[in-house]
Amino acid sequence: MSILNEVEIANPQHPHCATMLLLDTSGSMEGDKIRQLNEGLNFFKEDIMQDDLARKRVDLAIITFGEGVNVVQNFASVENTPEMNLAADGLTPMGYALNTAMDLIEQRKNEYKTKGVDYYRPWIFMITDGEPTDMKPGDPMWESVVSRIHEGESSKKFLFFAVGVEPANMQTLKDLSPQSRPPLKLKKDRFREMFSWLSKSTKKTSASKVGDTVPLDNPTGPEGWGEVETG
Amino acid sequence: MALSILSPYIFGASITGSLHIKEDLPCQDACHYEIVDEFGLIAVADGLGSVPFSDIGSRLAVEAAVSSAKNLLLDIPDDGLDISEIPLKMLHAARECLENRAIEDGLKLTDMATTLLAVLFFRDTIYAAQIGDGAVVAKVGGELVLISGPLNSEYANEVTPITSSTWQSDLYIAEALSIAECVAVFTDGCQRAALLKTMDGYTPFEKFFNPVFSFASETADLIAGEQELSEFLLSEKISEYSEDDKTLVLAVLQGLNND
Repeated sequence: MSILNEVEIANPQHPHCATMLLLDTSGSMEGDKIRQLNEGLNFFKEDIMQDDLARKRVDLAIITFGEGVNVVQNFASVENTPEMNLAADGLTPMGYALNTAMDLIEQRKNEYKTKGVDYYRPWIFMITDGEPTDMKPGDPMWESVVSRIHEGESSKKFLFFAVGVEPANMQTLKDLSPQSRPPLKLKKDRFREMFSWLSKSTKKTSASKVGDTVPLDNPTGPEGWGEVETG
Repeated sequence: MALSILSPYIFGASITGSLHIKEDLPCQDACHYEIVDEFGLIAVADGLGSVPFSDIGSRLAVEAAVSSAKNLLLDIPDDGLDISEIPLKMLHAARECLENRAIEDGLKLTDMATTLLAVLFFRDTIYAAQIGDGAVVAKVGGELVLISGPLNSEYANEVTPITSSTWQSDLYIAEALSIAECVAVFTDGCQRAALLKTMDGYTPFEKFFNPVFSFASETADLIAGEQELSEFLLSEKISEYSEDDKTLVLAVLQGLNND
């Protein structure tokens, strides 16, 4: 028997791919939109679960903002994600939700560092059909949230994606988003396609190796789910 | 110069990771090594998965690195040669080779993006330089030393390859290390197995390297050794947490009994 059989592994854990979903569940999402959001989320979970590598590597957190800001799931394996049946109610405390999301990402990265876990750059993926009701351009909360997002993106703390669902205020989303990644507007009834893209992108990232810049499918093509608002 | 001891030797293997097998992609890791007189030359490269010709890039890089160093060693100028500069020259030779190939074939240089580890040893002293990740670990008097380690950024999938415009500022030249007995040079596919990662950085993992270096020292047949090393890198134990291509090159130096 070879002496190589005696080898033990220094760090027997998969690299982690932290994905933060930040979901608007305000009253205006009621009806078809919240139903499609729930269906999309459940599809996303199933799709990740079917991918061997992504299942072990994706760390999913879900925060909703509507009737308060609610951490539905802090970062955990997708296996632990409950069946989604979110209800729409309340205002749009987006600023507080964004701060919570960025706090949880910082916290999670510290846990990775302490445990010596390799990790990919976390994603914040925000979906909203409105505009924030807890901050507005020019006030201190707005300034601090916007600069935190822009600084976080430019110093590679995370990647920020914003998606507006009709009738979202796209200008507000544009001001919040890093210049390099303008918000996308969801085409009507394309929630499932959007989550399919998200799942595919997450799977690609979680299977990437050191050195890879993951090329993502363009979500704004004719068959895509989103469009960039110009002007 | 006649030596009365066993010559130093080098052997190694690059294997295709499970993900690339599944996707029918070629191995994007490459290694090349040679003993030239009393010198050992090793180059190990990991082509980036996101670019189309990284398998060619890694292969060209290791061959150019070793052959450039060999040419220098076989034709030492009258005013001497500072061998500590050779690993850096190996990196430069690899970069130049990739630049030339890109022009010849009308490719983008970045389409052949690869990391590169370049190692030279002379008797019991090791010199190394690297761009990108992977590592060089030596055994010195029973202790393990990380000569050169992963230069990757915070995230698991971001690294500077030799084809980057910033490669010269991101490369690392290790301090020479003497009285070494064995050395291992490996790509990031082996990193989670071989290196402990803590808040303070990376440390060679004894329970990985002690058996691996014993295996290297006890190997009598290099062909069989390479075969066994390939099987080891393909084994469930090593691939469980890394689906990536893997390269591990081992060398036993002409050490302390060289006098």
